[in-house]
Amino acid sequence: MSFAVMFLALVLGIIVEQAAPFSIYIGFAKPPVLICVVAYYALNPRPVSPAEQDGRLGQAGRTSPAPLLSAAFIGGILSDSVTGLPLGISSVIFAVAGVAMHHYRDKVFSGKSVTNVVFGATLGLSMPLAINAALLFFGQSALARPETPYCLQPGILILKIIGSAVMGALLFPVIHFLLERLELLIGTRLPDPARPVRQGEGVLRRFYDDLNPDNRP
Amino acid sequence: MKRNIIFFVFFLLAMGILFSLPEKQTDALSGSVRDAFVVQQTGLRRLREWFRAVFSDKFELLLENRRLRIQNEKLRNEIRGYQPLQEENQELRALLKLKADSGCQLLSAELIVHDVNGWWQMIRIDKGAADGVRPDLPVISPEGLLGQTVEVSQHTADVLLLTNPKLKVAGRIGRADIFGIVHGQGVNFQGGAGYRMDFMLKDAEVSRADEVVTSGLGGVYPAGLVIGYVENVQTDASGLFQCADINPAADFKALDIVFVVLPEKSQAAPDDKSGERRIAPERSRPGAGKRSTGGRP
Repeated sequence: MSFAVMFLALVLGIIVEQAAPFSIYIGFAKPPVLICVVAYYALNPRPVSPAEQDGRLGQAGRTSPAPLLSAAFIGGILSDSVTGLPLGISSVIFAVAGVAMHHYRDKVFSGKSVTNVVFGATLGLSMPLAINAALLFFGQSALARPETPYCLQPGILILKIIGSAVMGALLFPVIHFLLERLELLIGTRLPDPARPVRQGEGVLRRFYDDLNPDNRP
Repeated sequence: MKRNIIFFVFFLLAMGILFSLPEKQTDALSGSVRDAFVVQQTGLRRLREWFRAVFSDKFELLLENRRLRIQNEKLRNEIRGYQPLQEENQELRALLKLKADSGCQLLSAELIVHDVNGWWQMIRIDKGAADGVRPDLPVISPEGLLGQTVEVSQHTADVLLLTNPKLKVAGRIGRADIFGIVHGQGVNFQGGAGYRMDFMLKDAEVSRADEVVTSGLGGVYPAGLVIGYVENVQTDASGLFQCADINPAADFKALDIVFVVLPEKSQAAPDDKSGERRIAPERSRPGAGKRSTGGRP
């Protein structure tokens, strides 16, 4: 179920990215939706199993990098296929950015919304730089495609970096909130222990637990 | 910890496989993903157009309709004027026993994504290999040359625009046989685009507003497609040739319907009869580009 939510988020993300209007004033930057979805999974790592999520089995709190890496891999392939970039570039960038975010998530800011804005801006800032570097490198090598039609235009690149950073800062808190709500509603994520469960949250999870007696506490 | 390492190893392995796949396989993979998104992209584009139509002033449409009717009448008159010339041309060709032009087909296509990735100037159209489109085919708008197809999937094709500096076209000043290489100069901060024509002979007489057309050399573009109009001319850095800044004939900001120039009838889409019309590519002969271009500078 968690994978289905992730896949849905990635597919919707790429559609939004492609449909978004563009402007020269932001260097033709597209809203960094997919990287924001990957970042969500980096900041909210999954427990190894649902039972462990409840602390019923094994070591509670142990997390798995599988959702983050899956999101990076699938998101990267979707992005590269649809945007015409050499296949694999975005997957690598998403994975590196995700792992870095996962590593530093507790060390930067304590406030959640501030963290999301700062991380969104950082992602937006670093994505064009990373893609630019990858295009300059891969574009000339036979690893991905013999020759990409990319030409460095420094002015456009600066505008793109600024535009992408602004869009990342605005988008990431929204995407984080929406995905969090969706996961809470479906039940693939449990609410904070300090917060009472709201009506309707976790309906699918309860349905699943009722079907499988082994999962009942 | 051990489990995490296994996941990372799996990821690296998957990336290694992805990078080592042959170009054909990666093209097939990305092509099928692109095809899967055609419906959504077309739907979103239609939705956007519908919103625009609903909220825009209908008076504007009436004015445009009137303007198009006038233009239509003018063009019909113009065609009537060309008919005797065409007949005369056919008679002379028959007398000289010249082989008739093979002819090209125009396949109409709708734009589904205006700026595909934001990294290089590329658009996506809703016609692909299933319609007879293949890589390296010229794409034109009613005003002039736009670029060429690069990536083609079953139902989509990506068109690299001529504004991209890496795309080069053999050009010719239509008024005289002055040849050169035309390439894009990217996009400026006003969002406008421009071309440059290099390697024109130093003593050639090139003047402002001269029409630049494809020369037909190189084999990709048929001769006579309008590229743009000369803005200014100067001697290049080496001092051996002239170069010129070119104003594009095509309006890249207002693209909606474009045409793919298919080389032969047999390669055209069997089911797209409505969007096709025949053109005769001009040979590289003196005066080939002298035709009127509809009020452009």
